[in-house]
Amino acid sequence: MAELITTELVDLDAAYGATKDDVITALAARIAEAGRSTDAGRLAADVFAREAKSSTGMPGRFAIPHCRSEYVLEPTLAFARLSPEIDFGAKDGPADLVFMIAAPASGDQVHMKLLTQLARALVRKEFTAALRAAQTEQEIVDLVRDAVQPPAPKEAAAAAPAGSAATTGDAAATTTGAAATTSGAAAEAGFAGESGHASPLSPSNPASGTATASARAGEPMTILAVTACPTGIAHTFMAAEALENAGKKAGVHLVVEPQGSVGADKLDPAVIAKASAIIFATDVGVRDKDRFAGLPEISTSVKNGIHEADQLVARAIAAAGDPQARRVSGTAASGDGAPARAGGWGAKLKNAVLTGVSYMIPFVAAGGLLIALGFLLGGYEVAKSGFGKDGATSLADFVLGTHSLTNLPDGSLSPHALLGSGFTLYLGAALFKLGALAFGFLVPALAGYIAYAIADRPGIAPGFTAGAVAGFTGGGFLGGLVGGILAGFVAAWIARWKVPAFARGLMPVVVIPLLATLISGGLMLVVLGRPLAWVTTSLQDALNGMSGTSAIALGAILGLMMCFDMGGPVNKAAYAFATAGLNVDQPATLKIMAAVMLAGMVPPLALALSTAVRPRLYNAAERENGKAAWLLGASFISEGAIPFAAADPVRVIPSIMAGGAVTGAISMASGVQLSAPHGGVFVLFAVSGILMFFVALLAGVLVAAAAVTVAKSTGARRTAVEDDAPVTV
Amino acid sequence: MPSITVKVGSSVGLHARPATIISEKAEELDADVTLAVPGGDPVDADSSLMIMTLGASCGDDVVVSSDDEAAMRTIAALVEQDLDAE
Repeated sequence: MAELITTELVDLDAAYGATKDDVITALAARIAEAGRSTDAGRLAADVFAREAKSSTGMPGRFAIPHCRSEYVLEPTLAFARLSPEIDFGAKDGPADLVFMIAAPASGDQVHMKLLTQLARALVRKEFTAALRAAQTEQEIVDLVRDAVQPPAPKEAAAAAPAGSAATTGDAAATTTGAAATTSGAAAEAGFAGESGHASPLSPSNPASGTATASARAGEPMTILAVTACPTGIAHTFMAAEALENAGKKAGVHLVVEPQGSVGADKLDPAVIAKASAIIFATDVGVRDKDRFAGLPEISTSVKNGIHEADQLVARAIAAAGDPQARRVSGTAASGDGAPARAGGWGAKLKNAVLTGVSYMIPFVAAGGLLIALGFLLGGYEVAKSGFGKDGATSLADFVLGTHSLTNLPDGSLSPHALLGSGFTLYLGAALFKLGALAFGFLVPALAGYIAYAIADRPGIAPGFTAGAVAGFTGGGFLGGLVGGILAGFVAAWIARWKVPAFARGLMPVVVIPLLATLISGGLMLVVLGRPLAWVTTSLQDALNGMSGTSAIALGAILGLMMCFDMGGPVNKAAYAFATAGLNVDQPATLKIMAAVMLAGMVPPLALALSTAVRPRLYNAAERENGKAAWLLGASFISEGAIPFAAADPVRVIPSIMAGGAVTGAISMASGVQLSAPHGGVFVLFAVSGILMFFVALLAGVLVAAAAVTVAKSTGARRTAVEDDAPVTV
Repeated sequence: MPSITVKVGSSVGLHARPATIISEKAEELDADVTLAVPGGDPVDADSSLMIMTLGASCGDDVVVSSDDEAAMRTIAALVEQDLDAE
C-alpha cells in the first residue's frame, strides 16, 4: 500500500476561504491532483454529506473531516494548516489544523485504524505543537508517518520489492547479521552515545540491540546514501564525501548517489539489493525513491549530511537491525517504472518518450488552438503564401509586417475573413502567427524533454537543439524522437565522466551542454538529417495518399486503441501518434487527429447514453457517474468511462472498442479534420467537416451504447463466475 | 465504581461521528463517565478524541464505568446503538 500522506498532500498556511466547505473542496482537489481520487467534486460531496450528519471539529482546535468514498483510490490523509482558522463546529473554537481522511469505499478497517492512530497522536500536546511549528511539508509528512503506521507494515515491506528488489529482504536480513559481527558492536556503542539527541523522528527504541540474527562473517554491511541540494553543485558533493568518509570510519560499505544538477549517477540495482539501510541527506525530493522501497531509512537535511555524517551512519546501522525502523515506502513493482529499474532499455525509452510527449502537448494545444482561431477570424487564406516583394511571404506575415491596428489591411485580401473586414483579418493573422510560433516548438520540445527524461537538466539544451535540427532538415517528429533520445544518451554519457572535483561545477553549465549539443546536434545535421527527412516524407506521403480502405483501416485501428484502456499506455500510444505528427500543413495529420479525438470521446458518451436508456442495468453510483460522463465525453476525457470498465471489463471494453472503431473509420473515411489536440466539442472551431464530425461521433456512440446495453442485459442473469474471468480483449 | 461491558453497535466502530455523539451526551449528563477497552486505560467519555483513541471496532467489548448509574446506562446504550445508521 502506498504512503498515506505525501508532501503534495500537505499545505502549510492555507487560506482557502471563509467556510469549512471551502477547506474540504480545496483538500479534495488536492487529493485528486495527487492521483488518489477519481473525482474531486464527488469526493468533496461525500465529505459534505458526512459533515452534515455531525461536524468534525474536535476539542484542541483541529478538525478531521473524513469519509469513505468510492471516488477514493487509496487511503489518503491530506493536511492543511489554516490561516486564518475556520469554524468546524467544535465547542472550544475554530480549527487551525485540518486532517482530511479519505478512504476507499471498501476499506472499513483501514479507515477506522487511521482515525484511531491519528486520534492517539492528536491527544499528545507535543504532536499538535510540532504540527503547528513545522516549517516544511516534509516535516509534517514525517511527523504523521511516524504517528500513523500503515496498517500492515510487514505486508508492505514484503510485498513491495518485486523483481530485482525481491532479494532485498533476504539480502538485508543476511547483511544485517554480518554487520553484527564486523561493526555492530562499535555501531551500537556509537549510537547509544548519540541517542540522547537523536532526532525525535527516529524510531522509538532503535538501540534495543536487535542485531541478534546469526552472523555471516566477513562481509561489511552495505549502506546507501542519497545526497541532493537545491542547486545541485556544491553541497550535494560535500555531503557525499562526508558520508563516504564516515562510512569508512565505521567500517561499512557506504555507497552514495549524489543527485546533483548533472543528473544522478544511478546506483547499481545489485548494490541496492545488498543494502541494509539508506540515508537521505536531501533538501529536495529524492529522484526515483521507489528503487529503495522497503529499506530502513534515515532522512535528514543535506547540511546534516555534511556536519553529522558519523551520527547518520551510526543511526543507519542501528536502523538496519531494527525491525521497527521507518522504511522507504512505495511499491517497487507498481507502474510503468518497474521494468526500467530492472534495467530494461525499452521501458526506459518508453518512459522518456512519454515524458517528451507530455511536455510537448501544451505547445500543441496552445499552437493548434491559436492557429484554428486565426483561421476562424482571418479566413484560411492567412496561411497562403505568395505575398510580399519576393512573393514567398505568407499572408499572415505580410499583414503583420506591413499593417498595424491603426493601419488595417484591406479585407479583400482574404475573402474568407470573418465579416470580410480588415480588422478580423489583422487579428486572425496575429493569432495565426502566434499559434505558428508556438507550434514551432513542437518538435524541439519533444526532443528536449525526451533528453531531459533521460539525462535530467543537462539534457535539455542538447535535446532542444537536436529537435530544432530535425525541424531544419525536415525530419519532423520522427527526427525529434531520434534527436531527443540521442541527445539524452550523449548528455547522460558525458555526465558519467569522472572529472576532478574542481571541474564538477562546470560540468552541468558548460561542459555537458556544449559537448552533448555538438555531438548529438552534429550527428543529426550531418549524418542523420537526410535519412530521417526521407523517412518522414515517405510516411507523410503514405498518410496523405491514404484513401478508401487503408484510411478506414487506420481510423478503425486508432479507434480501437483509443478505447482499449482509456488513458492507459495503448491509448497514449495512439494519442501520441496523432499529436506528435500534428502539422497544419499536412491534411492527413489533421484527419488522424480528428479520428483519434472522436474515438476517445466515444466511451464516456456511450456509457452515459446506456445508463440513461437502461438505468436498471447499473447501480446508483454508476448512474451518477453516467451523468458526469456526458460532459467528460463531450470534452474528450476518455477516463470518464474507467469506472464502468473497471467494474465490468469483459462487457464494457469490447463494446466501447467497437464504437471507437466505427467512429475512427467514419471520421477517416469522410475526411474530418481537426487542428487542435484536445477539447472535444469545445474546439469545434478547429474542426473542418463539422457535420461528419458529429455523424462519426454519433454512430460510434450508438454502436457502443447498444453493444454495452445488450451485453449487460444478457450477461446480468449469468453467474458471477464470468465476472471474474480475466480480460483477454 | 460500577461498570458495564457492552458491544460496539456502530458498523464502523467508535470513530469520529459516534464518538462525537457519545461525547456530547456525556457532557450533557454532567457525570464522570469513562470508557475503556478490556485491559486498557479508561478514557473520559466526554472527549470525542479520547474515545477515538480506543480504536474500538464494531462488535468489540467496551467497558463503561461511572458512579452515576443512570449516566452509565445512557452512555452504554449509545455505545451499543448503531450511531452510523441514517
